[in-house]
Parts: sequence; C-alpha cells; structure tokens
Amino acid sequence: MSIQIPLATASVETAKTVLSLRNIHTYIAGSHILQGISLDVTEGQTTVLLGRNGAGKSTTLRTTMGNLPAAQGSITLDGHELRGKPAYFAARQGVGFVPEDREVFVSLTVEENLKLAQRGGASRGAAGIEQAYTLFPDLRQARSRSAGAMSGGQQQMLAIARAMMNRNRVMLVDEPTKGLAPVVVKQLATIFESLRDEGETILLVEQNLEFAARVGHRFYVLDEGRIVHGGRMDELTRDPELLRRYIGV
Amino acid sequence: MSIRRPSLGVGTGAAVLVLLLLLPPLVGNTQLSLPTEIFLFAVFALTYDVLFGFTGLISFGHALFVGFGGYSIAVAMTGHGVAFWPALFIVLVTGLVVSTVTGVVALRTHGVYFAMVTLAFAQAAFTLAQSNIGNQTNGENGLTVSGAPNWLVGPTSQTHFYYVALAVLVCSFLLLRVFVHSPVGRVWQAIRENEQRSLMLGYRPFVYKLLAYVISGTLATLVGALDALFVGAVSTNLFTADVTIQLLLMVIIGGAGSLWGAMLGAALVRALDRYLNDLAGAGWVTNLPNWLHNTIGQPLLIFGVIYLLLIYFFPQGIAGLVQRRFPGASPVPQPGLGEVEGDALSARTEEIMPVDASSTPVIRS
Amino acid sequence: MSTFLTLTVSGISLAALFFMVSAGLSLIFGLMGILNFAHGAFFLWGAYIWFEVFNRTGNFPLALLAALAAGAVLGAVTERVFIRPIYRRPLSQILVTLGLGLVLTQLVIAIWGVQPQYFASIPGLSKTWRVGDFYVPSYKLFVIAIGIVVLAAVWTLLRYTRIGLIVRAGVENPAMVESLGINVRTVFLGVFALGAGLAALGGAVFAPYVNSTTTDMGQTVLLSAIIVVVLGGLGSYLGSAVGALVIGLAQIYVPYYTFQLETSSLWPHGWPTNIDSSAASLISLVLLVAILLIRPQGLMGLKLEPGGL
Repeated sequence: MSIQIPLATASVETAKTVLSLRNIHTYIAGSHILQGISLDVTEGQTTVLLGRNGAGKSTTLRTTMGNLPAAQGSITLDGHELRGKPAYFAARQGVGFVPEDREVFVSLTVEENLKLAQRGGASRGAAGIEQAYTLFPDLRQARSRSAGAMSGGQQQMLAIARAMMNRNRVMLVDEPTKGLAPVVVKQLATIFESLRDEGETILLVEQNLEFAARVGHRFYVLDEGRIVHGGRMDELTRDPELLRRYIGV
Repeated sequence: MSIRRPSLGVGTGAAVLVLLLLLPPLVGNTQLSLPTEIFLFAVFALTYDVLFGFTGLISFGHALFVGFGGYSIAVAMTGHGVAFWPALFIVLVTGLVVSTVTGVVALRTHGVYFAMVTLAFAQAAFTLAQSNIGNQTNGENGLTVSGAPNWLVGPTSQTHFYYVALAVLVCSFLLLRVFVHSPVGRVWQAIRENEQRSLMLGYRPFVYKLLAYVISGTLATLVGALDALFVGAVSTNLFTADVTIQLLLMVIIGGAGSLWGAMLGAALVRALDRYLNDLAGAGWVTNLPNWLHNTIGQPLLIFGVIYLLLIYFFPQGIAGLVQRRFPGASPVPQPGLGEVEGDALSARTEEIMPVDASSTPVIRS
Repeated sequence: MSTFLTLTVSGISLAALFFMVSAGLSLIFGLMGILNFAHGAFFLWGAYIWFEVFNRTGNFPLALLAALAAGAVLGAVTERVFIRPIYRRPLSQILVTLGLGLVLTQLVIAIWGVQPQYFASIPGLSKTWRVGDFYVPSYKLFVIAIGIVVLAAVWTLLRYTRIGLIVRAGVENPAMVESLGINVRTVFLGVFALGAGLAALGGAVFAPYVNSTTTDMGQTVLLSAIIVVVLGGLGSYLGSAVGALVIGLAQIYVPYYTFQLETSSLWPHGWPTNIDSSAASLISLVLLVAILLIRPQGLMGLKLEPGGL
C-alpha cells in the first residue's frame, strides 16, 4: 500500500541530510494518524510539507519534536536518535519549534517570552535578544507589552524569534501564515526568504501554496497519514495536475 | 461471552446464593448483622461502580445519596410519623428528585470539575444536616429511626432483615446487570473510553450519563434508607467524603467495571472493618503503644493504605486478576486507570478539559 | 461602623489563611493539572507539627518554621513518590490525591488522637486592641502580616526569577515550555514542595486563630480553598489572593448579617431556623458550583491579563 518515494533526490548532491524520519507511525487517542512517514530535510534548505487539513502535517512536526510519541520508526537529527526522547531533549539537540497557532505565552511580556527560550549564559543571551529585535523591529517596540495584546502577525514573529533564540540545526515551522492578513503574509515571506538565503534549515508546514512556492526548495505531499509525493518545489508549481490531485487547487 | 462459558460465572453465583440462603439457620440470628451490612454496602458499591467503573464518572459525593436516603426515612418516620411503606415511597421520590437535579447540574462539568461539584453537593448536604435545617435533622446529634414494622427490625427479626437485604442485593445486581449489558450500557462504556468519540457517533453523552447517575443515585438513596433502618439511627457522618472513599475502595478492590467485583470488594472491606474493630477491643491490643492501638482502631487508615497500593499496583482489582487467570471468564472492562497515550503534559489537559464547549468553557485551548 | 471594621479585620485575616492554602493549590493545578485533594492534609499536618513544637519549646517562630519545613518535605515526598509515577495516568492522580489526603489525616488521628489539642497563648500576640467599639485582636493583625509577607515573597519569586518565569509559562502551556528545551518537570517538585509548605504554614497559623487543633480542619479548609481557587481562576496566583479576600470576607459578613436579618422584624414568623451558621459555607458552595458551570476560568480572569500571575 505504501508508495515508495525517492528520498533526498539528487538535486543537490553534496548537501547533507540534517533531519530524517523513517517509517514513523503515530496514534492519537487510538486513531492511527501517521502511517509510516519517511522524509529527509536537507541542510540549508527549506522543505515544505503540503497536504489537506487532517492529513497529518502538524502531527508529523509534533512527533518530531517529541510532543507526541511515535509508536514505531526512527527520527534522527545528524544521525542521533530522537524518538522516545522528551521534547526538551530534541530542543537541546537543536530543533527549534514554531507551533501552529503560535502558542506564544500570552501572560508573559514579549521580552519574557524571548528570555524564557534562552538556555545559554546571560551575556550571550542579551545579544540574542538584541539580534531578535534587529530582525523584528516590531518586537522591540512591544518588548514590555503582554504577548497576548499583540496582533496575530506580531505573535507569529515572536514565535519565530523565540524559536531562533538558540542556535538550531533545524526549525520546524507550522503554518506561519494561518489566519494572517495578506500584507503580513508578504512580510513573513520576506523573512523566510532571508532565512533561506542565510542557510537556515527549515521544515515548513504550509497550506498557502504561493507562500510555499516562494520560500521552499523541496516539498512532500501528505495524504491520510502517508507521504504520497515529493520532489523539487518548481516541479510542483509547474504541474497543475499534481496540484489538483493533492492540494485541491 | 456468557454463551461460550456460562458455567463459571453463573455457576459460582448460584452456589454462593444457595449458601447465603442457607446461612441463617446454620449460624444463628446473632451472627447475621455482618452479612446483612455487607449486602447493603454491596448495593452501594454496585451503584458506585455503575458511575465510576462503567461510565467513567468520578464522583466524590456519592455519600449524598447514602445520607439523603437515611435522613429522608428518619425525618418521615420519626419526625412526622409516616408509616413504613409510604415513607419508602417518599424516599424513592426524594432519590429521583435529588439525583436528577444534582445530576443535571454536575454533569455539565467533566473530569476533576465533576469530582469537585459532587463533593460540594455532599458537603452542602452535610452543612444543612449539621445546622438542623428547618428543625428537622437535629444537628450534630443526628436522628434515631423508629416506627419500622416489627417483622423487619424487631429484636427477633434479624433473619427477616437478612433476607430482605439479600433480596435487595440480588434484585439490584440483576437490574444493573441488565442495564450494563443493554445497548445503554454499551454507550456508557463508550463514553468511559472516549466521550468525544461517542459524541461523534451520534450519541448524546449527557443523556446517557444522566441516566447512569439517576439510576445509581436513586438506588443508593433507597438502600441508604434501608441501612438507616438497619442501624436504627442516622448522623451527619453519612454525608462525609469518608463514606464515598470507602465505596471507591470497594470498587477498586473488586475491580472497577465488574459488578461481582464491587460486591466482593464490599464484603472484604466491611469484613475487615468489623475484624479490626473487634481486634481493637481485644486485651492484648489495648496494651499496645497508643499510636498502634489507635491505628488498629482506625480502619480508615488501613483502608487508605490498601487503596493507594491498589491504585499503583492493581488498578484492575480482583476482577482483573481473575480475568488474567481465566481469559475466558466474563470480560472486565478497563476502568481507565491505565496510562494515556500521548505526552503526559498534553494528555492530562485533554482529560480535564470539557468536551462539550457549549456546556463548559475550555480552560486552556 | 466599628462593628463593620471589626468584622472586616476578621475577614481579611481569614482571607490571609485561605490564601496560604489556595496559592499552592492553584499553582500545582495550573502547572501540573492536578487538583490536589491532599492539600487539606498538608494544612492539617502543619497545624499539628506546629502544636507539637510549640508545646515542647514554647518558641512560636520556631514552631512556625518547623511547620513550613515539614510541609515542604511532605510535599516533596508526595510529588516524588506518589505523583511522579502516575503523570501519565490522570484518572489515577485524582484518586491518589484523595487517598493520600485520607491517609495523612488518619495518621494525624493515629498519632495525636481525635480529641482537639489545646495550648498556651502565644507570647506577645494574645492582646486585643480596642479603639472605642472597634476591637482588633493582635493575633489577627499578625495573621494578616504573615499573609502579606507570603503574598509578596511568592510574587517576587514568580515575577523576578527564571524559575518563576518557567512556572508562569508552564501554567499557561507546559508542552510549549518543554519544546523550548526546558525540562519543566524539574520545577514540579519545587512547586509542590512550596505549595505544601505554604499550606502547612497556613495550618500552623490557623491553630492559634481558633485556639485549638482539630482533625477535621484539613477537610474543611480544603473545600474553602477549592472555592477560592475556582473563584480566582485555576492557576492564577493573584487570582487566588482576590478569591481568598472575597471568600474570607463573605464567611465573616454573611453569618453576622444574616443573623441581623433573622432577628429583625422583617420575618414575623422568624427566619427558618439556624441558617446563619451555615449560610456562609452554603453560599460559597453555591458560588463554587455556579462558577464551575458558567465560568470555570474563574471570575477574575486575571490569568489572561498582561503580565498576569
């Protein structure tokens, strides 16, 4: 039943695989949500996970993070096994997480949100926060305001900045454009383009195809808990049949 | 199941019943108070098991019904001179009304909130009884129960009460057995396993939970009245959490979700209670150091320790052990004490969070 | 007016006691999702440890510290031995804390007996100040002071330390805290110990307040604390302070003023007997049920306000 998808196609021969999922199965409350997911995330690239609502995209990220236990399979980061480890272990190994719906701490201030994420010494920490403010000037303005009082777009930027407070090997980003105004989506696209150009490694879940096409190198399509297609982003955008079949556009 | 192996369960049950029917002539009148007490508590345990074991509702206020039954009959018969049968009818109506009203309110909450609300109801009843509401309950001193017919509670009627209690137990068991094996019972168990899913299957969990709550509450109220007749007095202690926790202990010992387990649990707990009480009066025990003597005289401490050990090491109780031994025996449903899937940090919020958003706002979404 | 002031001082001092118990209850629930039904037993143990030490040494501050320490140890042991193995069994957690409460209470009965324990008056705190008709027992002022110190100390801890930051974030979303690389469970033990210690301190302070220790005071205070926490919003620290104030004042005002009503000419046939003594606790129970039904996030909703604790 499972379809074999060529992993890490030969587009960038020399590129190294940072994160790798093999045959991952995840159950939530007895339902078989992920049914054998295998995928690779290449260093310095943005890999996009596409698929309909309920296909298992967010579950894939949560399983990778360790927030949900995988019943079977393996998750490796630079060759080190993450499966069966708690979420804080994955984070300390260098997995940054920007969850769906942002999940910023609304009862903390913006700066407290950033401070919480810092795990290193204090001196490096101050510089880290300064860096975040440089990247997201909005946050500097709102530094002592409650994160709950910010707009959705600002919260999204805070969530991204928070995930970047430590040096990551890979960032898992779940639908950053969800529910945001087009102008904010454009802003985010610029941010992700610059992250891509700086060589950040990102696994991005995205429903907004235009956005995904703009920032992504490679893609996988998930359907009913399985990877049903994968390849280079430009191949997808040039194939309307593929788009209709898997994404419904 | 019962078609494949009818002999084991039904056979044992019939044998035990015959033995119990023959018991009075064998042991004599004076020895009947413990088994009678066990029969009554077995019904309490059965009613608690319907809620906890079969429907997955953790009530910390089941004492409400035990106490209400006792106080209803005491107030009716002693306070107002109502005759026995009309008084029982009053108890029945009281049980229906109290369980329906508290059920409609409490069942709008879920999980630990349900435990809190039911605890609050029992505590409110305790406070009312304690404060001698409307000059009916006589405050802390409680009430004696008088006016019962002589054939039932006279000095030579222990045998009669014994058979009445046994009959009530057998009827309750059969009634509840019919319920838990009916389609209704299957919905109860579906709710216990996963309320959200039962909702998606098109059932209205609220209605089914209310049914379980009302059946359980009304039956417990009736037997609470019988118990008050048997003891001859009621006190505000009947409303305390100690009563509820004792029922919880009985159900967990026997195995939540098993009717015969609940009855067995009631027998063990009451027998142990009686044994320890007798022991505390024995000469060599009174000579022990004070704290040790106190401990033996306080079965609740021992019960509490047993209760905790069971939750950690035998959450399925005796019924679970039996089932492991005889896989063909009547199946014991999982009482939901096992591990939850998923991360503990997120799993526990699901457990506590109300399912029906319209009835109770979500705390952490 | 002076009666009102006297009542108000009583109400605030009662609120200080409730706060000490509910602060821990609220934080433990917020962080770990456990409604600790054993919390009343920590309070009870605090009262009896205080009694034992005070009775032997006559040293009041030492006895308070002993109660605080004993409570913290009890809380730490509870978390480590009883709660930790069942983090993944939410149903069992509810059952276990109920059972623990029973066992701890029965242990007190086994050791000290069911009879109330009485003790000497507290040196330096047994005076009652009087201004006209306005009476203030100095012990009540002391209780209020302790309450304020505890409120400020824990607030500082939560507001200005990294542990406090983790706790506040953890109350909101423990899974996200973990995803940031923080092992949130390491702070569970500390919060449990702190909460239990505060409850025990509350018990120690409460015993002289009612001039005796009784074995049922744990159960009684647990219900009040649950009401306070639900009123203030589960997991909200400042919310429990406000909730405690509401319930503390209500439990003093309501019986007094219902008694006034009862004896007034408003009721020609007399008030339906003896409601006054239980009116306060009944009103709180009704309030509890109503809030759980209508607004389980608490009336205050402080948790959602900027910088809320």
